[in-house]
Amino acid sequence: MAPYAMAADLIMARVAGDTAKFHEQLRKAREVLMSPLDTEIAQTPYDVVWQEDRVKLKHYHARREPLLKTPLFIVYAQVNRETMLDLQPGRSVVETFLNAGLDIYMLDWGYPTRKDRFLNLDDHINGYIDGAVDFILETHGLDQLNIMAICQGGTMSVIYAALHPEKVKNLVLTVTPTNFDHDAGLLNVWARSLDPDKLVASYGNIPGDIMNLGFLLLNPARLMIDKYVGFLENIHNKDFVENFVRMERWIFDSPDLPGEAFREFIQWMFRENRLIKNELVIGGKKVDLKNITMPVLNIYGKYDHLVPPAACDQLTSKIGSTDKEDVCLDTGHIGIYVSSKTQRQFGPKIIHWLTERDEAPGPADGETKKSASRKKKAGATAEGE
Amino acid sequence: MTEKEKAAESAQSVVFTDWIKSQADAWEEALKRTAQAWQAPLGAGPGAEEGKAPGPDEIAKSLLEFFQALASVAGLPEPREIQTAKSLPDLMLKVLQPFWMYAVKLEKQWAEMTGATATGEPENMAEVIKQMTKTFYEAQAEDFRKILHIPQLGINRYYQERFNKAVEKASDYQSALTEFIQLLMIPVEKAYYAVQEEIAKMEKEGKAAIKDSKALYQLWIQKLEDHYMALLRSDDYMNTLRETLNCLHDYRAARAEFFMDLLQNLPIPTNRDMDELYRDLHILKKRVKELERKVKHNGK
Repeated sequence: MAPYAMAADLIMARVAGDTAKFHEQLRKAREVLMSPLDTEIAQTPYDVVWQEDRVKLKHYHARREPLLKTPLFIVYAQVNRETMLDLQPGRSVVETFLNAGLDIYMLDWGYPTRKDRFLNLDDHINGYIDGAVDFILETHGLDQLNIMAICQGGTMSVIYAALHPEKVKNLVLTVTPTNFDHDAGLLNVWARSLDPDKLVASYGNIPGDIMNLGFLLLNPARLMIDKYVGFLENIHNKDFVENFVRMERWIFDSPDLPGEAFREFIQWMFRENRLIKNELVIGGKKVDLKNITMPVLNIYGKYDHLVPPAACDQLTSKIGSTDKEDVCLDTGHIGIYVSSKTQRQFGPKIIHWLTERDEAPGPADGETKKSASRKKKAGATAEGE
Repeated sequence: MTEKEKAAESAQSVVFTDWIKSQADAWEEALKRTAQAWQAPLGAGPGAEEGKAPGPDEIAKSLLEFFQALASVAGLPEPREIQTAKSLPDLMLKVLQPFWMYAVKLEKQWAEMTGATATGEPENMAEVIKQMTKTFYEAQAEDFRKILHIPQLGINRYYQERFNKAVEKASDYQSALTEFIQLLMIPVEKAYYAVQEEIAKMEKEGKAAIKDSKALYQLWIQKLEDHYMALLRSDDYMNTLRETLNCLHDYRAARAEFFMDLLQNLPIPTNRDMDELYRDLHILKKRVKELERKVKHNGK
């Protein structure tokens, strides 16, 4: 036991040595924390253009001459909020796209309440996603749009693209789990051995806080201790504090998950891996991955602990597309959207990829016949009123 | 009793005797220091000889009345036993002995149950505490369950049964949750010892010791992460998590049944009422949507 006592003395001596420095930092920290802090997230302006129940469609207008003929529809996961794509000016995927001239629509799943308990995957995919897609297509007078999807939103978008391939021009998947039969991530190991029926029976909708607790337990040492030690070490730095608080605001803004959709997702994906095996049936229709014939860009993170590469890298070999690309970035699950390093790769890569597969609108053909006739109709209605 | 069991028992008792002695020494030393610390303020009080502080024995005398009163209430040693005390530490040791011996006895029982004294490894403390709590809850549940399962009679029997079931499930859940949380604490202890071993190893190899607390912290957090990763993938963790969630489910279900009994007497809809309503609403909305789609399709 002797070495232990020595080491403890050593630790205490070092700790004491740092005390003076800590007090000085604390003084500065007080100044920072008492000063006005800019911790707002999702500051980019948008219009809510469509809504069904709690689900809204946000429209972000391109900040310059449209680069693409086809609008981009972004489908986020139901866990956490889509505001992650627009954390702050200068660190916003939305902003990068708008500055490049992309017209963006983004699905906001909202906060499910008790009445949403019985909504299943079919309701979300063939209901809300399809409803929003139809609205965008109608608004623009188009037959197809581009979809960019994130995480679980990607899984739902893959299903959507397989069920409605005629409406999807290009599909961009980011950190999207499609293969669940691996042991690379703890989430998989846990989800496979849990009983979703009991959880849903207990809670109805699965509380966001329980999901958050689960995510924290994926790495308690880093997420519950080290992260906050890092915060204390930098508490005197205003920029750091603002960024940290923004991230905290986003991370713990967790809507509940509709019970039935959660149950189906855990059972059919995590436990039975039906999607990649082409055995999934949604709304009475088989989800055949070979139906996905549109160009597909599949981006994932090498160090993603939630959706590891093993969960993402099989899809492109199973789909019917000939134009498909896997991109593995040197980052984690969230870093892919928010780290300054990947911001330089991620957004531009998608913009470039979409541009190559889209015709830039000419001055005369910006409107299709369909949209022109619809505008006429809308005008007539307005006149009639 | 086999030879092996006898040997184990003997090993346990040797370790335990040493431990009691060390505990007693520590107490005595601590009490002596406390008595010394008390001398100054007491010496400054009225009646004290100038420049001379009362010794421990004098303090003991002045405290005697207080302890006699306390003893009469708490069932402590008789005052005459206290009179034989030679010093304040001795006195306090005698006064506190029943409490102390009771605590020691309790600890010994728990330690014997978990086999901790046989290993004598400090690293096992988190595991020992986990086992102790588990044993405690199991023992408590066993007795408690018998009471809760006494057959209920009369017009209220179903309501009383549901209440008892909710209480029983709450207890089971509390027990499972405690075990789960304790399991999560094990890596913290393991990481601490892993850091100690790492430092001892470095010193043994003649390498420079870690210079600053930040480096020590980094070493610790890395070890902690490693131990958590091992734990979170283990069958033990999975089983405990599953058990906790199952208990949670059973508890919530039992609680819901109990509350339903209460709410039925009030003008408030129950969970079941609301769920049935929402299910109907969901089905109706789907049907309306489907009809809208058909109308739209036929209109084209």
